Amino acid sequence: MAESEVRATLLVTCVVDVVAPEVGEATVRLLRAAGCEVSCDLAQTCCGRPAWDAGFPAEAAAVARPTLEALEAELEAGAEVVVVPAGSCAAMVRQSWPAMFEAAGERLAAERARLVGGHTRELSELLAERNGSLPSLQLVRSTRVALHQSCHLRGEHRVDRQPSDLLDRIGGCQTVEWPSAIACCGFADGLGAEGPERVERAARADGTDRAEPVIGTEIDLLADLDAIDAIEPDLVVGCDTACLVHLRGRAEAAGRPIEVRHLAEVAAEALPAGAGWR
Amino acid sequence: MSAHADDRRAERPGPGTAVLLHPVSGALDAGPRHVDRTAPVERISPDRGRVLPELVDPDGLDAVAAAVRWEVMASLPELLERFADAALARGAHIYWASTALEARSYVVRVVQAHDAERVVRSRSTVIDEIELRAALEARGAAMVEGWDGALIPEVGITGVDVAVAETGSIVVVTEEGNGRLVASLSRAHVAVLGIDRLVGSWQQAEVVLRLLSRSADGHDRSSSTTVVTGARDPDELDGPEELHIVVLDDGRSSVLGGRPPEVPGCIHCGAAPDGRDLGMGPGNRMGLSPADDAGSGFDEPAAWQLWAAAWSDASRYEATTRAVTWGRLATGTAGHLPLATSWTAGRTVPQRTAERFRDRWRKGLV
Repeated sequence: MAESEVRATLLVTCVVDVVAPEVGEATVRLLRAAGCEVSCDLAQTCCGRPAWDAGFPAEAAAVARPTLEALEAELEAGAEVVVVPAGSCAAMVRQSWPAMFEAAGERLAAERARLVGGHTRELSELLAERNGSLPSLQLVRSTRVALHQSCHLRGEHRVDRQPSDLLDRIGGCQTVEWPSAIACCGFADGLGAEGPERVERAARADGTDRAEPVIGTEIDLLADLDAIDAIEPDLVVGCDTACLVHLRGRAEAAGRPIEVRHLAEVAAEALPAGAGWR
Repeated sequence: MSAHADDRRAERPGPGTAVLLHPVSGALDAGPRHVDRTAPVERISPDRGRVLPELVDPDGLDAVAAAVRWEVMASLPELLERFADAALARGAHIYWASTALEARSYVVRVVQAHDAERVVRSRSTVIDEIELRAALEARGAAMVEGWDGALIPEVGITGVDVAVAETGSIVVVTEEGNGRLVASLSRAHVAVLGIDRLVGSWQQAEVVLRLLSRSADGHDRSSSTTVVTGARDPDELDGPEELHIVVLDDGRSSVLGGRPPEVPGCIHCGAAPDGRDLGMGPGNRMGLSPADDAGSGFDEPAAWQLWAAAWSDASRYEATTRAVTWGRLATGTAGHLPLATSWTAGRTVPQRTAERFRDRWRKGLV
């Protein structure tokens, strides 16, 4: 039985907006199919994560501010939840925005960010909460999928089982075990973070005393491509376009291309015909 | 180890502010640290501080300029072709120089062909970039400044501040009029054009020129803006008998796609007299020299400031991201993105577009 309609507003993220609009569209379809009325305030820009990760809170806050204001306006206009199709950006909004605005000397914005963060869900997280609302999911052709668990989603945002649970619900989708599922794609380095230092900074920034690292050990690419060859997935699937694009780019550069797909695309692909279209 | 963000930040000297100075309100001025955000040129010209508020930004001129720059960068190869065709049609010589060495060698050949002992130049960073002076001196020719060139020189050399593809024209902006002197009095005018100075139309040129001087030294417009379109026709009163335009890449094309989004948006106003003040490449080239990354040239704080200035409101975000999707279409990378291949039967893969999510949302396509 479908649950009651919920009003969801989309933080599409700059990466999806510019690099992978199809992920945004798949996200919207899924949300609608799950009974959400979807809005999107285009005054949003980016969550500010790149500068925050590099240790520049003022610059990060300057970029995040219009996004905070856009999401706030949507919530005031009646949206009940902010949905983010990227673990790293969802984690940024919910876990790091208050600390970022504090570090930038913006107390009030930090308070407002806490309120927005409380309403923020990563896509697979929200779909899990609205589990009963999704129609049955069935891929036309059976597909072997290796799931990549992005570091921020798992380690920072604390969303662990939801992506694989969603994959398990998709008929014709077979998840294969991948030893490197929780390794870092390596993109964190590309953002100027340097392994252990990054872990320490992330842990201190949000005020928690966390022993376990946020960022996994970086994928040993060549060994990992061997592993991928061995398990022969049709697709490498993840919840963060930045990680996926980075993985694919590295594999391609190594001369061993892989197919990557955002979880939203796989799930939207499996929707009944016509579901999720307006 | 000083990993805490604020400590780390405070250790660094503040860089100059971005190309078009946006005092990003709030966050950048807050916080525990003091950073000198005075643009280098403000230490030179107090006027700039007075007129910059006009730039920030009653009519969105800087956003328009950024959009112009991005538009140009997205179709640079085509525009270069168009520029060259138009300039050739007006009797100019075009020389394509991939490297500073090629450009330098060509200019030396022109000078030698004229048996010139003296080359007069109007100061330009691109002339410094190709290290022309030493090469000329090695061949017995002196390079003198425009203000010393009162005698009619055989060969004059300038940079190009704006090149306009639709007419094949070059624009040289100077304060004291050296550019005009050199362009008007030399029998042969050699103009070195960095490919990032191109615009498509005079409408676009107007936007850049309006910002150029105001941002550089606080004047509404330069006292001397010289337009040269082709070599002198028999029925024309002035202009060079020979016009050589050296179209210089020197690493520009390889980095235009991979920088913080503002770099290709740089209009070269000169507010960073030496690009190193912005942590970028020397010679006011805004990081257009890949080699600088390897050394101490890259200044991370400056890069993040530029990024923050560009993405701290939606209209600038829109302007700077639009070209990324255009570029994607142009380079055919769309084919490498997810969903490019049909991996399930029974479904039509949507026609790929170069639109952002927000463009499609706005059109009601999502």
